[in-house]
Amino acid sequence: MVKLENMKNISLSDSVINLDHGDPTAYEEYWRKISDRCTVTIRGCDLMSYFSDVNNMCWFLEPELAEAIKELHAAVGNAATEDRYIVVGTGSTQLCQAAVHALSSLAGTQPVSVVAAAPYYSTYVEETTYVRSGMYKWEGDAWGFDKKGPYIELVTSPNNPDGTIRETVVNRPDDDEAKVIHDFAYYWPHYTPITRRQDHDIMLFTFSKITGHAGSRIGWALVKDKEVAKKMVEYIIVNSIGVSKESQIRAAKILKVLKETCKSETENFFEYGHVMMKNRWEKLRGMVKESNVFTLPKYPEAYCTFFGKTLGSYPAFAWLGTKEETDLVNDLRRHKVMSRAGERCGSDKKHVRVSMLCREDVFNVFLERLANMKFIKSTGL
Amino acid sequence: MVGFENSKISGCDSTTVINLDQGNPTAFQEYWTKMKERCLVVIPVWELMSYFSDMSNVCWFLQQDLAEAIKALHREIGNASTEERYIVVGTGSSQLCQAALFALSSLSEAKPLSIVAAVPYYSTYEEQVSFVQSQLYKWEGEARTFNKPGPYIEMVTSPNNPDGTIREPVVNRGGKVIYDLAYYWPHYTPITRRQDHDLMLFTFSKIAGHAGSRIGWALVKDIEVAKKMVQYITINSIGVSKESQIRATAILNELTKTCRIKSESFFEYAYEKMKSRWERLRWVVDKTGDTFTLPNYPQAFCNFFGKNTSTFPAFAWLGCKEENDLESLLKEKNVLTRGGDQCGSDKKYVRVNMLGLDNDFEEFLHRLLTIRIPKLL
Repeated sequence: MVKLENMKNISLSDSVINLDHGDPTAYEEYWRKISDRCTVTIRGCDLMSYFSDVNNMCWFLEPELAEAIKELHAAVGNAATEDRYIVVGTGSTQLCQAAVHALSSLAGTQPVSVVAAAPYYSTYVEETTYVRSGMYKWEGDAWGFDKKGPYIELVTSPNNPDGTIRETVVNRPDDDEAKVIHDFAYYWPHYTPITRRQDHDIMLFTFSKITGHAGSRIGWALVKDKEVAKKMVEYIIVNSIGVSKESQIRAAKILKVLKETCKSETENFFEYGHVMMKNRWEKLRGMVKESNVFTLPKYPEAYCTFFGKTLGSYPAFAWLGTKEETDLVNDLRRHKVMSRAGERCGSDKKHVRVSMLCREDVFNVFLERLANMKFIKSTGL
Repeated sequence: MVGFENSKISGCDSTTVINLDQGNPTAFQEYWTKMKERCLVVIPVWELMSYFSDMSNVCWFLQQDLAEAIKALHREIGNASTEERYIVVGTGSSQLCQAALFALSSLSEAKPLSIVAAVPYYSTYEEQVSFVQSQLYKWEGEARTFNKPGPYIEMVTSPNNPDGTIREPVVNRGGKVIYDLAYYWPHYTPITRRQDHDLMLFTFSKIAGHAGSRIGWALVKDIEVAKKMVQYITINSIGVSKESQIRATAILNELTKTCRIKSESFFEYAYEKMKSRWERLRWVVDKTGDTFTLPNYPQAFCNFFGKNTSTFPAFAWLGCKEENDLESLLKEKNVLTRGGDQCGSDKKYVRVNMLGLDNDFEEFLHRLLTIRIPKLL
């Protein structure tokens, strides 16, 4: 019998709370409630082969997962899956690197420039520099990018860290060598209105941020071009000879239940997630407004085709800033709150990225500590 | 039964393609099917959600139970030391090998590091090293003739892939060595000693056949190397599937629990199976005169089985004296194998998967015989 994970009770008065990572433990509560469904049972003789489906270009993709992915996108209406190849990865992290590798290998010349508009997902920097590949080169902020030659723009929408809806920034419409990787990790109704069915050439999604199952390490790419898909598959073969089948089977089951319940009244995960995020953001905005010291981005309302009404955005991360010049990551650290420094995201010291997906008790501690900070600032101590 | 005459002819006709190129370990499915409800793993939906397994561990994405199961199995089999070592889990030993290359190169002052292996080597090493065109390291091929100055890493696989031989480092110039011990288990080779090198890789795929799980582990002595390997896996995939880790835990624990019970022991079963297959293969090769060759392996005392045993590797390194391109010859017979040239050797050799399904193996033997029989007449 699988042991329950340790549930550490935080001694709330004193310990450091870590909101640097986006560990999505907030959703555990929902899954505990619908506990009987999606239990996965695996026998000793199951899933042993390297191969899932030798007739598929992505031969390590379990057919059940491919089906579940297509059905969920169809139900939510957030992305087109027709005429596309699905490539599964060990998280969208591995897929992003597979995509950068694939596009670079197909480019006319190397290294290919890789850019993203600041503030950007800090991990993109690490992903594109750690192995010091000669095939591509991180060139930083897309806003100021003017280097000639082939390039890849990483567009995350809603954006990580600041939750904004993004389009490409480097626009060279007649350039064949202009490639874009769209990271739609947060393009789900509990975070943002679904305004259209995205249909770009390379779209990344992650299981972690839909349902909170970050430990499974499952992501998928919807890829239009066969040659690009082939190269991505090749990358994953060399990197790890495919992707955990246990994780794929589990993800398939959970995504299936998600699709089945997404229109229901009582068990709708997206409804639950939306209400939770809205609730947290309202509390945070309330706190920030009172403080007169902090800032948060504003997000326009839009009509969500999934929920059938006009809604706001409630991103997975809060892009918290200060009005004054400060070193916010260190200020927060002094108050025992870990966050991601704005500088790491290509921004400044006045901003930090804070996870909105922690457990409820941790989130409440965060609000308390923020309140204390505001208090200290306003009294000039 | 050694004799070929008594074996049942497989259901496939000679046009069915028999794929023995990859090392897909489906042979062991039979054992696990017999085990039925043992090692049933049940995962409730709310479990394993977090990125984090154990924040107090250098390898923060390693499930504690898996770490314990790995140590217990190594202890019981006696094939590797785990004390005073860091365990790093990976998405297969493939990912770990690349993590190790990254770690050792990053810690070296001079770059790129030369990466070498003694021919014939695991063809995939060359791909892994060259694929991302890293400036940290560079594939330099054959270790025996390697004489480039500067830091290097030697890949030592023992038993070797593809030829099953027991290997030691060949360069011996004080450089780094990554020991790939994927096949250092009693069903493939005698366990002559408890390996205790600085960096040892193991793969779950080749122990009992669970290749689909994508689990491997490294036993690492140096904390800085371990940290860098963990960093690699963090950036590469933010850790390793927790479902796979849970599953590997259950299976490894079962292997440990039953390994001394003759009727249930996977290692007993697998040893007999490998032995039987190799005997049949050698019989067929003998029957074809001296056209085909296979390596000979010395017997040795196996500490685990407590008797002299031989080596029955997961791949057959089949050679052909007369034929310059054995891979193509076998392809004409619809048998897919890995050409020796891919392993740094020549086309007179091929690497043949010995872990495939019974039917495929029998059909392979059948076709091997049909190649030579006309010449015997």
